[in-house]
Amino acid sequence: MTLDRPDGSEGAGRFIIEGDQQKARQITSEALSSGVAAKDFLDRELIPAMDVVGARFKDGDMFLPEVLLAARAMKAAMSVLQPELSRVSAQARGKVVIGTVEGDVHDIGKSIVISMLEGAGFEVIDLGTNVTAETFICQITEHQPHVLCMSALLTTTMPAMKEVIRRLKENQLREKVKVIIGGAPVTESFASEIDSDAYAEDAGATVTICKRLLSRPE
Amino acid sequence: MSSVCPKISVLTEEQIEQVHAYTLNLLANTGIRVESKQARDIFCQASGCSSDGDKVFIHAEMVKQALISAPSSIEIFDRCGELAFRLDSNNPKTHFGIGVTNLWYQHPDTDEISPFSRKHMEISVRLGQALNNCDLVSTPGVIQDIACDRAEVYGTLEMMANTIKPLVLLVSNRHQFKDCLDLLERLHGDLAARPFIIPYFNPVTPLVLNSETSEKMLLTINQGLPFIYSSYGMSGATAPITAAGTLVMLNAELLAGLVFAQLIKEGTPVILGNLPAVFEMKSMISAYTPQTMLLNLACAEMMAHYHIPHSGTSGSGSGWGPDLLAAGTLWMNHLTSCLGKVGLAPFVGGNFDSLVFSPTTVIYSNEIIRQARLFSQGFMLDDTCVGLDEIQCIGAGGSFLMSEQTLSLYREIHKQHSQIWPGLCLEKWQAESSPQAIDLLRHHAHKVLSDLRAPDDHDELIEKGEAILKVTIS
Ligand code: B12
Repeated sequence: MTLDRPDGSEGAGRFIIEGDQQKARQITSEALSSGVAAKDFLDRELIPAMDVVGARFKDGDMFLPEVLLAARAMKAAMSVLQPELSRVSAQARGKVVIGTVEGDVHDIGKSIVISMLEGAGFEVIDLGTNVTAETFICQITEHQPHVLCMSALLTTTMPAMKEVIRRLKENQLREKVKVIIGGAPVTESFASEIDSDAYAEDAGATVTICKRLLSRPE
Repeated sequence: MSSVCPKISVLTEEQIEQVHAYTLNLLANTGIRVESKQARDIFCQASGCSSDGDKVFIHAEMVKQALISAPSSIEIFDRCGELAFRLDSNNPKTHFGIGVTNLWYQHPDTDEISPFSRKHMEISVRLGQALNNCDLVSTPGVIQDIACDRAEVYGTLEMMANTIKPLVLLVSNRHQFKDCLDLLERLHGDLAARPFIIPYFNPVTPLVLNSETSEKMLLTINQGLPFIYSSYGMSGATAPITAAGTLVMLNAELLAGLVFAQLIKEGTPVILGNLPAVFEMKSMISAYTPQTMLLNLACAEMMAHYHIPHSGTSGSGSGWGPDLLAAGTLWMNHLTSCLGKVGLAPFVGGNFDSLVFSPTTVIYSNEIIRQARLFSQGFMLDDTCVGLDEIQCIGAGGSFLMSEQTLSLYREIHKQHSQIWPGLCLEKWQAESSPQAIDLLRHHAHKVLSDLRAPDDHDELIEKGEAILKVTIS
């Protein structure tokens, strides 16, 4: 696909893919100054670029550091768009709260999931590792995210995910947030057993699933 | 008379000093994050230590003291109280074990993968007991057909009952860790007297001593047990991408752990080492590459220099089963370990990045270790062994098939050949319908696995253990 604009001029997309945050930011500012609507710019230039990055990474045509650079450039462009998006109360793709559950310190996979989500235009609030059910509930109440992502790398900490979902229900929050879980020992069947909306096997799949869950008619 | 002793050495004395100096710099200036207040207090009571929030800065003198007080050699026993081996940093020899905490089990005949069960634990541990070149057993898997709030305790019981070899214990849950030690102590009596249990801990690379690990260390040290403190770094992700950066940073983590242990109890036996994996930037898995093996040896040399017993990586993880991928890494690991100063290589048998335990891989590894050990033994070079007289006597164009030396040594030398595969010439291979090496390995594995036996006191231990657990684990 071409990332240039219909008039042939250079869009921000190329710089997102190349991970050039300065250029991405600059072109985004210029577009806003010339009167392009923030939401249109996001949908036409930034998100398609990150979709290309996601696809290339999935196909093994890009290395992770290149994807992370692209995600950083995307974040830079988003920081220019954000005030304008908030003004017209348009959102990025959605808000995600994420954490590694209690008793578990593994966070490498989670960090990659975060970068990919941010790169795809989601706003992500990272609660870190060893996050108690209590903290998850407080943060969800405070931030009201569209999606809750939980990571567990130990069989012994998987039950903590179930506990968070139980507490969500107890606090009448379950209907308000989609839940996605992941991590090496986690499976699709465990996800349905604990009433999680979805399971994602890797960071790329997490982005696809987030998009899918949020585009569903409520 | 002299013996030819092949060795691999990675670092010069000068480079060892250089790594040490960089390490001290990191410890004093970057420091480590110590999560638990109790652990921070232990550090801060020591003179020479400073802190800033949860950061602790360790100065050279503290490291020096810790290196002086930690034992340079540790005796490890079997469950029956016999000396199994001595981990001696002054004369390091590699001891191998099977492992570790895999989530799945790979069926030896079909390569089918299923969740690791209690039965799989029994088979794996008995396999560790049966294999001659396996010196210890590390928690091979995490039992999934028992509720996970008790699975690790039942797993530990199975480990104790199915082997008398020393055990390296990995327990993920901090409460179950204590339950495991309590169970072992009730079944065995004083665990510290002739230690056969070696708990295993990690800091969280980069440079974090997490509270769970410091808590488990305190418990273990107060119980008087030796333990392994090992850094798992992924170059490019949790550690610097360069070999040198990874070596120095992981070394700093190890010395911080050593200092902590010696501050808790002077003279505590600690085994240090690292698993220097490399993060694969396309697939996002950790891999064992030539850099891993180099750093494994370099770390072992640092520990020998410090006079601290060492535990390194076992080269398990890269394969998809008992395949060419696994074989390459295992060979590289086992041979270099035996030729270097590696103390323990405790986790043989995992595949798919330490997720799947494959008994067939372990059985193949046993053969690799055997051959690597033969290689590292070298050979004798003296008048008798050269046998100039014999060569002269047989002379040009003669045959050594019936010579005196051949007749006295051919059985011994035959041991150098594979014990799994017969030597087939091309015609014979074709005549036997071109067998695949993997099929013969499976056949051999099948035989080994069908001959597995439990120790004599197995039933008694299981019965006693289950009775204890019924009361203690509600
Ligand atoms: C690195 C590592 C560590 C590091 C973690 C460092 C860190 N900062 O994270 C250290 C050394 C600290 C560590 C410690 C321990 N570990 Co560990 N660790 C691993 C290892 C080797 C790799 C994990 C990893 O980072 N992979 C790379 C990333 C990119 O992959 P990933 O995490 O799977 O993430 C991807 C997907 O799963 C998914 N994903 C991940 N999270 C999420 C979340 C959501 C919402 C979604 C949708 C998707 C998703 O997307 C990611 C990117 O594509 C695994 C083995 C393995 N193959 O998983 C063992 C492993 C998980 N650890 C294990 C063990 C036993 C331990 C310890 C108990 C060891 C000990 N010393 O006793 C401690 C436990 C500490 C604790 N309480 O958490 C066992 C688990 C056993 C079990 N009970 O389940 C494993 C399987 C290894 C093994 N066989 O021994 N470990």
